[in-house]
Order: sequence, then structure tokens, then C-alpha cells
Amino acid sequence: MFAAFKRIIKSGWKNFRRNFGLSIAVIGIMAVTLFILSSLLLFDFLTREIVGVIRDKIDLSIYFNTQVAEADVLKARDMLAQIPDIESVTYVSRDQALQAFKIRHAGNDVVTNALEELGGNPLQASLNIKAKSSESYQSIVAFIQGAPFKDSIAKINFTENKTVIDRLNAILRAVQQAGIVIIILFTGLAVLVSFNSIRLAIYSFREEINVMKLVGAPKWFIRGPFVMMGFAAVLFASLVVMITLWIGILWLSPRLASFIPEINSLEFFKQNIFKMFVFQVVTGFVIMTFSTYLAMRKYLKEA
Amino acid sequence: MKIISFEGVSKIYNSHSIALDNVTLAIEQGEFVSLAGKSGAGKSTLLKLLIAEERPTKGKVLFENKDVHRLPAGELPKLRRQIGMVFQDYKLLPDRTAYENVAYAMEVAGIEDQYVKRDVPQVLELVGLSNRTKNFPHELSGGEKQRVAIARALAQRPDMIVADEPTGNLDPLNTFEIVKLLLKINELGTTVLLATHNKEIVDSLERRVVILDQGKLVRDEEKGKYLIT
Ligand SMILES: Nc1ncnc2c1ncn2[C@@H]1O[C@H](COP(=O)(O)OP(=O)(O)O)[C@@H](O)[C@H]1O
Ligand SMILES: [Mg+2]
Repeated sequence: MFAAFKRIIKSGWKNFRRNFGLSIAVIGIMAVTLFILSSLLLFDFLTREIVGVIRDKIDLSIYFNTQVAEADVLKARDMLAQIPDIESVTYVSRDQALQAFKIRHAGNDVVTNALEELGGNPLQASLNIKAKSSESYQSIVAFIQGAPFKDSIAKINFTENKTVIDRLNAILRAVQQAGIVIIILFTGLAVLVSFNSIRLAIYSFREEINVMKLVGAPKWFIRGPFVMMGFAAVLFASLVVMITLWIGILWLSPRLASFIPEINSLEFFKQNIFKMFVFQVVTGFVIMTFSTYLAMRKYLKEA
Repeated sequence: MKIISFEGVSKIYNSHSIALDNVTLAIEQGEFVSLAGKSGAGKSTLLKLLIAEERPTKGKVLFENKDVHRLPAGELPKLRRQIGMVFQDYKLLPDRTAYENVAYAMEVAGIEDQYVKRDVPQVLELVGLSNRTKNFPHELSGGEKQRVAIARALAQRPDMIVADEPTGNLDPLNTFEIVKLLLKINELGTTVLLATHNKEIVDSLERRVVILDQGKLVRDEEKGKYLIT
């Protein structure tokens, strides 16, 4: 069994080398297919990240009057945390606020002196709220304004550029949805093109397949080397695609970072390089083997 | 002992092409039989039925007492290794050397490397191609290609060699060499069935001759001549 496997590998590799032109063509087609697939997935990932980053930029803070007891603020926090639209509620106590204030203004004598003059802690406790989606803020604000603790609230602070963010969000969402359609469409097209190229490649071997049959080769022994050949082509194609993507990301990363500094696409690529390679090899191999199998079936059929 | 027998075999490709018409024929182990007849007489069809490349419309084809068209799935490759086929157009694998073409025939049977390495040079020697082992088919003459094909058939140690117009593309000298080689193989104990429309070959052999005409078996004689009726 192992000996047969070794023969199939050797024979597939021989076919691959001795039909070099054809192998290069198949690698090319496969590389284009995998490149389209990977860059669409990368694109999808990046837009998702951007949506996330933008969403994180919106937040809602409630400041409580200084007379309000900490227990009441915590009660308000627990109440808010029950709301399904809310992702998180973070409590910032008056002491924490003062600490942060002092750190922010360390070295600024005017501010430090003024603080000293006032005595005590003039800062308010606050709750920082993040909603699950940017559309929910409106209703959350409405809820707070009617909540039992509404009289303890000093002010509600809501990011002013919300409308811009909302609009950007809407655009990104549209881009993402279009992206999914494009991914399906292009992937379908690319797979179709690969399938037909592989069929043509197998067609060029039809006489040899027939000879192998007449010499008494079992079907699996005929198929094996073609599957190996395909596997070699997929490996090379994946390598080519990874190198191309790397170069592309090297170019793109600083440009994207200057626009949205939170996203480090180069780092992301480096961290996922192995996963992406495996993904390409597996996807390519599935497409390749499936096409090869279908293409060969016709020539392996017995009278 | 009978190695092959055709029992009332007909092959109709389509309504206006009856390739074989009720042919009954038996060949004994160790025989050398020429299958003669004009082009279109049905010789190739008869051989294709034997290796189950085509199915008969009527009748049975037995090889070593087994109906070749009723073999269980997966037994067909084995049948084709037991019957070494040699064709007019050689049917070599173009991107394999002479050595690799012969070795391939052994590899498909799952024969271990050590025996492949031992036997391939031997059969290539037997057909007189020891100095051509590393050449690809396109680097060989017609006669050499046909000898590779015969070596390939021999490497499988078949019970029978079946040759369909093996000399059809060869000049007289090479034709003579190939026929001599087939006779030698027969003397070493392998049954040979040689299909040809070449009268000179048939007459020079002085062996059993079966003549087909328009799909009918019209003559079957020991030490026969190719008489055109
Ligand atoms: N695949 C086919 N389809 C239809 N007719 C065929 C086919 N193969 C052979 N024939 C016909 O069958 C007859 C016998 O052909 P063949 O066996 O090749 O003869 P030979 O080998 O003696 O020249 C011929 O009339 C030929 O045209
Ligand atoms: Mg013929």
C-alpha cells in the first residue's frame, strides 16, 4: 500500500515536470482563483474591522451629581446592564475620575493649584455605556431620560459626530453586503474557470489515460498521479498567492494605517499567514480534486 | 487446454455495420494463430471484445473459462494484464522513457520495485533494446517503438499476447523482425494471436490461420495460407 502511494507520488511529480508548460498554466489559473478568493476574504475582514473601530468610537457617558451615593450609581449601572441593546457599562468612580484627571494634568501647576484650592473632589462619578449597534444609542438615551435615576444625572454626554459616524457606518455596511455578493459571484466564476481549465488539461491526457487502461492499470492507479499533479500545482499556486498578498499588504498597510491607525493589516497578515496558506491549499485542493475527478470520469468509464 | 473461446459472437455497432456475425472460435494454450482478413473484416473488433473494450451484441467470450463481459467490477484490469496487447499505433506513454513504459506495466500490477528493476532490463534485452532504455518514444523509430510495446506486454508475464496489425506502420525489414520476435515469444510458451491483413506474413508463418470476411469466419486451417476468396 505504501509502495503504491510512493509510486503515485513519484509518477505524479514526473508528470508535473515533464508537462511543465501545462503545469505552469494550471498553476496560473489556480493562483488567480485563490488570489481572488483570499483577497475578497481579506477585504471582508478589513471592512468588518473598520466597522468595529468606528463603532468603538461612539460612546455614551452619564455623569452623576456629586451628592449621589455610590450605591445608587451602582444600582443604575446594574439596571442598564440588563438592557439587551447594551454591550457594556463601565463605572468610573469619583476617585478614579480624580486620579485620571491628576495624571492627565500632572505638571500643570495652575490646574493642580486650583484643585487644591477647591478642596475635596469636585469630579463626578460616571457610567460609560457601549451599545451593541450604533443605531441603539437613540433609544438608550430615551430610556435614561425616563429612568428612575434620571434626577441624579448631572449630564448625558453623547459623541457629537454621531451623524457622520452613522453615515459612514451605513456606507460600510453597504460595502460589506456588496462584498458578500461579489465574493460569491467571483468565487463562482473563478471556480468555473479553474474547473474548465482542469478539464482541458485532462482532455490533453485522454490518450494516455486510455493507454493506462489498456495496460491494465486499476482506476485508482490512473487517478492517483493526476491528483498528485494537481496537489503540486495547488502548492505552487498558494505560494505565489501568499507572496503576492504579502507584497500587496506591505504596500497597503501604511496607507490604511494613516487613515485608520487602529488597524494594522500587516500585523494581521503576519499572524494569520499560516492559517491563510493552509486555507488556500485546502480550498485549492478541493476544487482541483473535484474537477480532476469529474474530468477523468468520462475517460475511465468502461464500455 | 482452451485459453480463449468465442461462442456465437456477433457485434453490431449500428444497423448498417455488422462487424462480427456469429463467430465461433477456440484457441489452445501455446498456439500461434494468425487472424487474417481484409481491412474492415472485423479483426480489431474481435480483439476488442476479447479485452472487453467493446461488448458483444450476442454470444460469449471466454478467457481461461471466464466470461470476460461478466467479470466482477475491478477484475477488468487483471484481465488486461493477463492478455498483453500490442497495437499498430504502439500506444506508448509519450512522456515516459522506454524503460519507464515497460516498468509502468509492472507497477500497475503492484509488482515490487526489486522485481521491476530485475525484469525490465531483461525484457528490453530480449527485444533488443538494451541501448535505448532512456529514450522517449519520439526518439525511437517505428520498429523500436513496437519492440518497446512488445517488451511492455511481456513484462506482465501474460498468458497470451494479442497483436493488432503490429507491423502496419513498419517497413519490410522491421516487419520481419517483429514477426520473428513474436515467434520467439511463442516458442518460450506464450500463446500468440496476431491480427493482420498482410498476406506475406501469414504465408511465411506456416501456422494456424483464421480468416474473417465481412464479420464471418470463413476459413480456419492448421498451417494455413491466406487465400483470398
Ligand atoms: N466504433 C465503431 N462504430 C461503428 N462501426 C465500427 C466501429 N468500429 C468498427 N466499426 C466497423 O466495423 C467493421 C469492422 O471493423 P474492424 O473490426 O476495425 O475491422 P478490421 O480491424 O478487420 O479492419 C467495419 O465495417 C468498421 O467500419
Ligand atoms: Mg483493425
